[in-house]
Amino acid sequence: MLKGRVRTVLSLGVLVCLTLAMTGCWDRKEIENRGFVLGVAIDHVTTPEPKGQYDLPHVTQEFGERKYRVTFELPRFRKGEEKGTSGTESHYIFNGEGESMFQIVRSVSAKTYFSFFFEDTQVLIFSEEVAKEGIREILDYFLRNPGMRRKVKVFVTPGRAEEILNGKLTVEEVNSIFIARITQNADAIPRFAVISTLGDAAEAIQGNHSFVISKIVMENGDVKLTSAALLDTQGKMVGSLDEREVAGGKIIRQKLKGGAFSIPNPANPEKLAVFEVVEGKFSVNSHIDGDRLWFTVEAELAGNLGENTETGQKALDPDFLAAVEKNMAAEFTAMALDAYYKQQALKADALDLGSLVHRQYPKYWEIVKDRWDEEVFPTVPMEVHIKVIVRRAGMMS
Amino acid sequence: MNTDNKKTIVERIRSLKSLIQHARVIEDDTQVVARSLAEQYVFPEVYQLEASLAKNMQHMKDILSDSYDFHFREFLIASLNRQGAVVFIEGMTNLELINMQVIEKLMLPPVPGMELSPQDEMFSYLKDTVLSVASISKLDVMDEAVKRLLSGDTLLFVDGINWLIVIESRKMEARAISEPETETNVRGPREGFVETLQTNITLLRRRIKNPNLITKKVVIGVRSETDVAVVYFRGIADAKVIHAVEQRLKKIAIDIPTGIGMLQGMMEDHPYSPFPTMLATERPDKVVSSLAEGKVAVIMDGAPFVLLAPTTLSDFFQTSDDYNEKWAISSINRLTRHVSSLFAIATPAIFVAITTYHPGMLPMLLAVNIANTRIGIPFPAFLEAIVMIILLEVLQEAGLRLPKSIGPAVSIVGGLVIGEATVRAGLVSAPMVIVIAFTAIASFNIANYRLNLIVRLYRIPVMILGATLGMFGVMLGYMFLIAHLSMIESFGVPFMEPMIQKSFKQFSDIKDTFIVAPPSVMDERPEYLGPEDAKRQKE
Amino acid sequence: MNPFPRISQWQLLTLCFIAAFGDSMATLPRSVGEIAKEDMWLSVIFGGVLFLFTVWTAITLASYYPNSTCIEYHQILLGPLLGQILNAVMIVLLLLVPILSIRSFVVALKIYLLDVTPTFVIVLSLLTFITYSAQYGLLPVIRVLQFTFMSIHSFFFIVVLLGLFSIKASHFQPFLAQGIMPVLKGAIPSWYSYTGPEFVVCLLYPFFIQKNKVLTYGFVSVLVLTAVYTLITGIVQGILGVAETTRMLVPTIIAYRGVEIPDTFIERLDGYFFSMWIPVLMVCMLLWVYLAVFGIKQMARLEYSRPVVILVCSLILYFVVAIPNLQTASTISEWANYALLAWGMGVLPLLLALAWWKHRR
Repeated sequence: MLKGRVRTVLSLGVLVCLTLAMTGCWDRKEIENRGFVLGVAIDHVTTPEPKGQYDLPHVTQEFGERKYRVTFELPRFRKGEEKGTSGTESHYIFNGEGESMFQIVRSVSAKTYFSFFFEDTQVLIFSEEVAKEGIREILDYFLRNPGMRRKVKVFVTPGRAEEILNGKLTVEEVNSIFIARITQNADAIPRFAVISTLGDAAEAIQGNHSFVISKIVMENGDVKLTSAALLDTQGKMVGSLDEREVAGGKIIRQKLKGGAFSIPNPANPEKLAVFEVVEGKFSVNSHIDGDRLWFTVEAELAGNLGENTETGQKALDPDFLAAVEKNMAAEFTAMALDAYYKQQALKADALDLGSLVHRQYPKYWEIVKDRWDEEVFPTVPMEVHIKVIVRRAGMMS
Repeated sequence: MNTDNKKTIVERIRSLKSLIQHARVIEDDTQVVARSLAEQYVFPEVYQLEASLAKNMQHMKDILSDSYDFHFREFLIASLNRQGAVVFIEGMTNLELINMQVIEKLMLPPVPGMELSPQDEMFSYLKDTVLSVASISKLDVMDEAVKRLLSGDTLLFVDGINWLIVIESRKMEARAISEPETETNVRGPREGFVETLQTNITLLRRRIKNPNLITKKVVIGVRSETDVAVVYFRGIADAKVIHAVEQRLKKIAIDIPTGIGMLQGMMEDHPYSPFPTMLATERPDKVVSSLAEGKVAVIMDGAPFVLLAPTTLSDFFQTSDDYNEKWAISSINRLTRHVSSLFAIATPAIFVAITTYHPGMLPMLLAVNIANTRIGIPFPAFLEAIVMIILLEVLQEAGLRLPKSIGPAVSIVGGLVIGEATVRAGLVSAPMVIVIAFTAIASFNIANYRLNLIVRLYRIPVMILGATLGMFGVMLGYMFLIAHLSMIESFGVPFMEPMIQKSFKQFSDIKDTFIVAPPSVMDERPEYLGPEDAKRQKE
Repeated sequence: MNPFPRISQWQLLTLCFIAAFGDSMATLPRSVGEIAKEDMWLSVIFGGVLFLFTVWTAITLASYYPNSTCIEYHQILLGPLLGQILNAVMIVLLLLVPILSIRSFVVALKIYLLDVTPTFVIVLSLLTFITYSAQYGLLPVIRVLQFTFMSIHSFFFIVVLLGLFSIKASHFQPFLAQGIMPVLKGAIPSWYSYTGPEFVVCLLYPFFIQKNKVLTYGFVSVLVLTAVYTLITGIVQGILGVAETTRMLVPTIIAYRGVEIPDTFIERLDGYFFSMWIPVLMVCMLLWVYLAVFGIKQMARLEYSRPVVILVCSLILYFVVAIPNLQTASTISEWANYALLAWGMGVLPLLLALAWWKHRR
C-alpha cells in the first residue's frame, strides 16, 4: 500500500474532513426557510390577560411583565407568476406579548418554522403610547444584535401600530415595502420629517440629544405620512410637530431641498401664489459673547414660481416677483421661528443646534452639555434672515 | 438384463465423454506448456554475429521467430562473389529502394574497372561504389542491428563476414498533417503535430531555419525503444533547464511508455499535484514561440502532443489567437479567460453559500425572488447543486465520447430538455440551473483543456467548503488553491511566476499575463525564464 | 526548500504591509476613539509616525549584522544565555499576536457571518490552511502573500473606498477640541495595528537583496499602512460618529453595514467587506506563524519546517480555544499591546545603542 508518511498524512486529512462532515453544517438554512421580517410594529398590550383558549401570544419570560405587543410582518412566498394582492394573501403576521424583545422574538419562533431574519427589515413602527414611554429600552435589542441594518426606517403612529401592518392596502404589495418606498419621495415633500432611520435614532440616543421621527397614519386602505413626533434625549415622546413646523425645522437643520409653499398672492390676497424651492444655501451659526449664546440662521432659497392663481396678474412683473419674494421670505422666517419656539417650549432640541455648539465652541459645550435640553436651550434666542430668489416663473407669464 | 445393459451403455458413453473432455483439456495444457517452452523472451544481445551467413540467418530467425512481416531475401553478390542476404520488415521499408538500389546493384556484375581488389576494404568498396543509397553504416552488434531493423532499416548480411551493413530505408504510413483538434483558433495556422517524430521535427524546422535549433535524441522505454527528441534553442534557453530535462528523461526506467501523459508524469516536478507543470500542445506555432522564449520541447514518437518545459500558470491562458489579433481585443479576451476561470470554480459555491448562510448579502428583492422560486423544492440547495453538477459532468463526458453526428444533439437534449423538465417538475429551482449553466459556459471559456479539467475537479471541494462554512469556506478554498499554486515549481521556475513579480523590473512581465501588450512593446523575453539573451527586437 | 532565498524590495514592501494589516482594522477605531474622540484619525497618523521610529531602529540594528538573523545577533550582543532568553521572549510575542488576532477575528466572524458554528471548527480550518502553506519554506509563503496582495487587497481597498459615500462631515468636528494630549495618548492602542514590520525586518534581513534600500522601502510600507489605516478610521468615524464608534464592539463592520450606494442595488457592504477581510486575515496570520516557525527553527537549528509548523499550529489552536471569555481576551490583548510597545520602543533602541557602542570600538 502507500508508504508510511503518505499514509499518515492522508489519514489525518481524511479524519479532519470527516469531523467536518459528521457534525454537519451548523449555520445553513435554506433561503425559503428564513423568515425575512419586513416590518416590526410595537404597541402596548391593551388587555394583559390571556387571549383565546391557549393564549398563543404569550411569551415565556422569567422576569418582566406582559407589556409590549410586537407584530412581525413576513412576506408570503408564492411560487409562480401570480404576485397576489396586499393583505392576508401576501404576508404573514405574527404576534407576541411580553417585555423583553429578545424573548418575544425567540418565543414567536415556536409558532413557525421560519427563523427570523432581520437583515432585510424595512420599517419599525411604534405606537404613540409606547413612544411616550420611551423607545430607548426597546431599541437596545435591535442595536445590540447584529441582525438589523441601520437604515431601517422608524415611524410613530397615533393609533395601533399593528394595524398599519395588518391592514389591507389598495396597492398590491407587502405593507412594509410599500411604506418604505414612500419615503423615497422625501426630498420633494418637506411636510414630513427627514426620514429617520434606526441609525439616526441610535446616534441621537448615544449622543444624548433629541430627535424627530415621522408619523404615519392609515385609514381605509390608504397610508399617509404626516407630521413628526419629537422625542427627547431619553427616547420619550414629548410632543408633535405639525407639518409647518417640520418644514421650518428643516430650514434650521439646513436640509430644505425642495417642496411647494403657498402664500397669499400679493396682487390679490384671496388668491394663491405658490413657490417651489429648488436650491437652498444655508448657514447656521452660534455666537458666544461672554456668557451669552445666540444663534443666527441665514438662508438663501432659490426656486420657481409654481402657481399663480390671480390670472390677471402678469407673473413676470418685477414688482410682483419682488413682492412674492418678500412675502415668501417672511413666511419662511415665521416657519423657522415657529419651529424653534415650539421645540424650546417642549424643551427638546432636535434641530442639531447642540452639536453645532459642540462643533463651534467645544469649551462652552463642555460646561453646558448636561443641562442643554432642559435649561440652556429654551433660553437661547435666534435670529433668522432668509432671502428668497425667484428664478423662473414657468412657461407662461 | 436389457435395462442393465442400457444403463451401463449410457454410463459408459458419459464416462467416455468426460474422458474425451479431460483429454482435450490435457491436450490444451500440453500445447500451452510446449508453446511457452518454445516461445521465450529473447534478448537480442545474447546472439553474436558470426562469420557464416547461414548461422546469422539462423540467429535472425530465432530472434524474430514466426512474425510474418519479416522478410529474408538471399542472393549472390556479384562483385564480391559471395552469398548475401537482406532482412527487412515489410510495411516499414521502402521496397522500391531495396529492390532498385540494394538488391539490383548487388546482383549486377561490377562496372569494369571498379572491381574489388584485394587491398580494398569491403565496406568502403560497397559504400563507395556499389550501393547507391543515401545513408549507410556498418554494425557489428546484434542488439543494435535488431533495433535498427525494427525502426525500418534494412540489414545486409554477407557470407564470411562478421559484421553487417545497415541501410536506411524507412517509409511508413502516417496521418496527414491536419487541423489540431483540441486547440482551435480563428486566425492562426491550421497545422497540427502528427504521430511521426521526424515529421514533427520537420514542422518545427520549417519555421525556424536556424542551425542553433538543436534536436537531441533520447531513447525511452526498455522494451519499446521509443524515440524521444529534446528540442531547444542553443544560446537562448537556460542551460539549467536543458540539463534538467535531459537528466530526467534519462532516469526514466519504464518498459513501454503508453503515451505522452505517462512521460509527463515521470518527468514532472510535482506528479501528485493536479496541475500539470509541463504544457502539452498540438500546435507547431505555439512550440515555435515557446522555443523562441527560451523553453525546451520534448517530442515523443507516437504522440501528437509536444511537452514544453518550464511552464507557468499564465501559459495556460494564452492562445495563439491573442497574438494574431489586435492587442486591445486580445487583452479583453484574456481578462475574460482569467475571470471565467474564477467564475467556473467559485460560482456554485458562492451561490450556495450566500443563499443558505448569508442572504443578507443579496438585495432584498432578489432574495425574495429566489425564495419564491424555491418553494416546494424538496432538496436543500447544496444537494441541488451537487445533482446539477453531476448531470453536467455526465453530459460533458457523453458529448466527448459520442460520434460527431450525435454529440451536439446530446448536449442540446441534455441541456435544454432535462434542465427545463427538472425545473418544471419542481425538482431543481431555476436560479440553480442558471448558475450551473453559467458555470459550465465559463469553464469552456478557458483556453486549455487541462485547466478545464482541473477547474471541474476543484469545483466540488470548494462547493462542499462553501456549503459547510459559508463565505468563510469559499475564501478558504480560494486560499488553499493559491497556497498550492504557490508551492509548485516547474523546472526551477515557480508556477505562478509572471503573475507574481519577484522584483520591480519584473513588472514588465505583466504585459503578457493578464493583458496582451502591443507587439512593439513585447521586445524582451520573459524574465522568469532566465534566458541567456534577453532582447528580442532591435531598437 | 531553498536554503537561501532572496527577497526583493517589492516583496519586502508586501511583507511589511501584510504583517501589520490583518485583524486590527476592525477594532482600531474603537480603541483609538475612546481616548481621542473626534481626532482619532490624527491619532492613527501619529501612531504611524511613531512606528517609523521603531522601523528605523530595527533596520539600523540589523544593518550592523547584515548576514545574521536577529536570533543570532541577539546572542552576539547579549551573550548566549541572555540572548536565548530574549529570543524566547520574542517567539512568545510572535505567537501571542496570532492567538489574539485569530480569536478576535473568530468572535467577529461568529457575530456577523456564521452564528452557530463552533469556534473550534473555524480555528481548525484556518490553522489547516496555515499548516499547509507554511510547511514548504519561505518562498511559497512569500508568493502566497504577493498574489493575495495583488488580488484580494486591491478589492478590499475598493470596498473600503466605497464607504466614502456615506460619510458626514460634521462627525469630524470639533477639531482638536481637547488639545493635543489625547491625540498622543490615543496613539498607544494603535500600536497593535502597526506591529509587524519590525519582526519581519529583524528576522529576514539577511535575505534581502539590496540592503541599502531596505530603509526606504520599509518607510514606504509604513507610510502606506498609515494612510490606509487613517482612511479606514476616517471613514468609520465619518459614518458612525464618535459616540457610536466607541460603543460598538466592531465598529468597522457596523459602519459598512450602513453604506448604501445610491441608485444601485448594492445595499449592504458589510458582507463584501467581511468576505474580503477573511483572506486578508488568513494571509497576515500565515506570515506571523511563519515568522515564529522561522525563529524556532533558527533557535533550535532545525532544517525542516514541517514538524515545527505542526507543533506551533497545535499550540495556537489550543490557546485560542482555551481563552474563556471576552474580558480575559481583552486583558491579554492589552498586555500584549504594552509588551509589543515595550519591545518596539524599549528593547530595540537599547539593543541598537549596545550594537553602536560595540561597533564604535
